[in-house]
Amino acid sequence: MSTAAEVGSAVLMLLGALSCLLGAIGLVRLPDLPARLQAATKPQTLGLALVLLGAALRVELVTAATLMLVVLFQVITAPVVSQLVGRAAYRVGAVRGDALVVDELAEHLPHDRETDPAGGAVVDRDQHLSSGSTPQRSTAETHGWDDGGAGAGGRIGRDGTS
Amino acid sequence: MTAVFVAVLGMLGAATVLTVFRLVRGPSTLDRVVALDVYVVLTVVATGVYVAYYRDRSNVSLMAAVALVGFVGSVAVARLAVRRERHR
Repeated sequence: MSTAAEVGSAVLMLLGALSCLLGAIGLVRLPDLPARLQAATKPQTLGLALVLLGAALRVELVTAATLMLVVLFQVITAPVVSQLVGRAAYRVGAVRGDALVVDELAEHLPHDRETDPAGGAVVDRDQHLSSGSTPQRSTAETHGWDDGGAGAGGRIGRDGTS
Repeated sequence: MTAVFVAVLGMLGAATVLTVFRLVRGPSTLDRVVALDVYVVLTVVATGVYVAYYRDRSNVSLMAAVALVGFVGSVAVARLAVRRERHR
């Protein structure tokens, strides 16, 4: 029993560390932000679950339960971080439009942008509240949405390296 | 069994080096957010290896705390990054 638990623990921890390593390789090698996000969340969560499962086989029951709690917490929070970062990436134009097969969000966003000037009141209030930066910001947003984010991506790149 | 732990820590160390490379190199702020989240997860995994090797339960609460702080930090930086890019 003890030997079987040790062997199972060793196998689980090796597989988990391998999954973490593959996720990190994908984080370096993949070309753009959504692909890196994919490589960052799923193999890392799998690696964490496998390593902590292997660690839980070697400790007593209360500690093992706490380790499984950490795994559960990571499984809950990793999609939240992934969704928020992906949403932020789409907002600032870091997602290349030509790299996407299906872009359902873009089908909804121009509809909203068309109804905003038609409404009138929303645009007036926005220009009234934010005094100086409104034309620049709207230009940046239009640039980011329309050309698939190539210009906006260059803008982020300059910011990141400086 | 020690060879297994050496192999596991070697793979985790290589993963950490690659993640730090992306953290330093990353073109945008959001790339750095992703890399930092991966780094936090790798820290938790390495602490789990410590717990398994020494059969010591004193660091398990540390793992939960680090995972919590990493989650809050990633969410906050992602929200602030999109706000800063918008005001440019």
